[in-house]
Amino acid sequence: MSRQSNIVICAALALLLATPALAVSYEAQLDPTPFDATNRADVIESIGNVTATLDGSSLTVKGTFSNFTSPATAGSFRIGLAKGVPGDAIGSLTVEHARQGSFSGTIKLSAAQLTALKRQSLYIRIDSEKAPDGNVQGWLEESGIGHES
Amino acid sequence: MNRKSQFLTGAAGLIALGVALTSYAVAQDAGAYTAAQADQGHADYVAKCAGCHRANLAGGGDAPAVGGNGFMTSFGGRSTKDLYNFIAKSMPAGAPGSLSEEQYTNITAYLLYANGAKAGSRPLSKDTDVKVSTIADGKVVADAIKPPTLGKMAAMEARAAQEAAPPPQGLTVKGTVKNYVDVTDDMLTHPVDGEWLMYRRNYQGWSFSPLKQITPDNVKNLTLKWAWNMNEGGASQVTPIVHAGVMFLSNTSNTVQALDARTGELIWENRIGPVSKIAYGGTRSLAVYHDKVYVATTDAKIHALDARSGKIVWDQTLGNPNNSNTGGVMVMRGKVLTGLTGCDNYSENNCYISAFDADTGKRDWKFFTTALEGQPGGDTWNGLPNLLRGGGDTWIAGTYDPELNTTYWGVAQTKPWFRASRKSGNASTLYSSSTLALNPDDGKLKWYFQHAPGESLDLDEVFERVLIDHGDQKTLMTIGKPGILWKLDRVTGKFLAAKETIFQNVFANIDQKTGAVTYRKDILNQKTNQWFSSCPGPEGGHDWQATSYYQPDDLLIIPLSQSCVMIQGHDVDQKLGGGGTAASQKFFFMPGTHQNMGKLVAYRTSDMKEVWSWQQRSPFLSAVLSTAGGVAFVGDFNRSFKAVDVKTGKIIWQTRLGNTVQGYPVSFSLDGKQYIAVASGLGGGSPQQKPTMLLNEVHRASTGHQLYVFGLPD
Repeated sequence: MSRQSNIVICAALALLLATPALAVSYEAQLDPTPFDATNRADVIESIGNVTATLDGSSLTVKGTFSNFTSPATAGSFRIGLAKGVPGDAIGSLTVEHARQGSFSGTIKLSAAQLTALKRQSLYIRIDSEKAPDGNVQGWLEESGIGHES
Repeated sequence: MNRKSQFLTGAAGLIALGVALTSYAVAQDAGAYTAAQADQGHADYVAKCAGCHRANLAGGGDAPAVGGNGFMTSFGGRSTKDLYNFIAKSMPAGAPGSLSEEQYTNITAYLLYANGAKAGSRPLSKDTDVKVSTIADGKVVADAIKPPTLGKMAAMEARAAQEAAPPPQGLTVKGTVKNYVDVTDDMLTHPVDGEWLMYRRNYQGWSFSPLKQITPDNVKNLTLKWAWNMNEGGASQVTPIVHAGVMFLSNTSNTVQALDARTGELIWENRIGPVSKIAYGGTRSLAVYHDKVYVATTDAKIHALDARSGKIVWDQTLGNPNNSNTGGVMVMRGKVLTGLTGCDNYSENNCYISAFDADTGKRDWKFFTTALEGQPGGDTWNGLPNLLRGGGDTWIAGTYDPELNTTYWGVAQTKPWFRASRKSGNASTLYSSSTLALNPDDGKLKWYFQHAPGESLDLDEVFERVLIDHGDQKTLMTIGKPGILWKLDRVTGKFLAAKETIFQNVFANIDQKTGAVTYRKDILNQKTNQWFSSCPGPEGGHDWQATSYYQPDDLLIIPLSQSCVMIQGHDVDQKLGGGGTAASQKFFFMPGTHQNMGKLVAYRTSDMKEVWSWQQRSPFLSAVLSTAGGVAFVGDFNRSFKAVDVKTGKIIWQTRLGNTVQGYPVSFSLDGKQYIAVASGLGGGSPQQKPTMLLNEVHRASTGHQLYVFGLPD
């Protein structure tokens, strides 16, 4: 192996080691939270989207929401027993207090919470004045899987 | 304490007592409604609501209790305004907003009265905003559930007469079917290509027509040949039966018609009645055998009509007045088999499958679908007495293997839905949520397989059992509300395979060797008055909109729905007439579906592999029909009737009908020409209710029960 080859290999190895582990992307559509006839009009048209990046154990999300009938008030990371099952908040989001807008936030996940994310049990919820227990919600799924057109 | 202090304390106490008594008197006088409103509301409730929620407020089918614990669980913590809005925005089922503001207000007042709230001098309005639990205690007032007094009944009838004259009953159109040919056992076993003699066309339940004139190439040329307006009211989920050039059609309000299948000309009509009051449950299918047409009616009776004239030859009672029949009938070896539904309230009747002699109507046997005390399987109810063994409805007609002389039926879940409500512990409650294999001659059980022991979330496994052979292996395929496609050995009942066709979060595991399911742990640890997520919810997954088996390519084409609920079980009165389904629901879109409620999928049944699938916003409200020409047909909630290429799933033709495409499309031929018949319809339980709540943009007329017959141009 020539000296030049050695230099190229060493440079490649150095570059590989310097590159952080590949981040994993997640996404979800935010749909209306469960409703019945009494609060249907408050939430039925509401919609949103979220994208998320898991870098190590750090999960960063950003997203948008629209068609709220009252201003957003809060947002949270949450974990339930399974996808589609509501659960407790594990962290909060910064949310624009408007009927449409954006939100963002970062949370450090524990090992158990990372497992929940992989099992699609972690979800995002945005609350509003008329829907303080949730206006829209969406369970994070790894980008590029689980969607059909 | 000195004397002065004692005096002051006593005076203060008296003043406080006086204030309290005054407040009580004011509260009594300031009742949230007037007696006149409740009185009128009682009449409105009986006329508009009791068909589903029952006169005793106990609820039934998908309709929750509106009296007692169930009512207080749902509305005790909410306001009278919420109660009004709930009723006005969602009721009556299938026609929300169709009553006047005064009627909705009166019904709200009646429910408050019935649940213990006192009347006062101030009338209730839609804006009255009082917490329900502060005025009602949920103790159902006995007078509130008595039948209306004669005077009140007269007033109700007078108003009903103003709204619509009651239709005539009996043989309202007389005529004779010419050239009728008696239907034989051989014709049922080997149906000719151009006829549709039973529910799913053949005993195996395929919904497959061997006709091949309509193909992917020419389907775009389909044109309407004739149409026919059907009875309105109730739920229409019809299967047209075609024989000898005649279409026998079941309408709502238990009306049977014979039409010339070439022209749509009415030959005879028998309005057997009663007029449909229950919003749920259409008559899904008639049966023909020898010279008779058989219909099981929504008042739990079975009638045999002369196929030529429509005259009633015999009739028999199937169950008690609370029971119903929607699943239709099947004829096997000279016996008429039918199930029973409306078994949700505690009754000494329990639920069963019946067989009658086709010629005489004599009942031959009953098989109880809730195993009774002392009988095989009777020890799987956590010690509950027979009275408290609700459910086990059979609301879809069975299929039949003539070689094995075995008939296969699905059994619905136990009632009340929640095991915490019914106090059955983690017992399996046989034969709920099972496949039954019965000998049609004597009703003896050959085997059973329970898909969901002790089911809790209104996730029926009651639907069609499709019989498919793979070489020497005789299998049975079925799919229930959880969306799990099951394959069983139909000779032995042995589990062969299970496949999840859509997302579900109810079962944490399905054992692929035994088929045993493990529920999510919170479902196992359930209590009443707690909310549970169910994906899919009671819409299914899969519901009564049946599959089609496209035999040439071994494809089972399945209409699926994707929606979820939060569901909460209530405490129930464990006494005669109590029970019911006993749950409240909230609705949400299934995560990850992008709000696509409808999914059509084709599975190759030999290896359970998905061949194609696609999603759309609107769920499918019709069964699938496939034809040997390579075209399958299906219709949806948003009125679109579609043809798809069975090999690719690609939509190759569609047209818009007058209302939701609902029922069971069929194909038949006359004079060498192939036709497709399909109905539009309204009414029904979860498959109508969920998209009505979730799909804000779909607007439908309040009427629209109609039959359409399509064919290629002449």
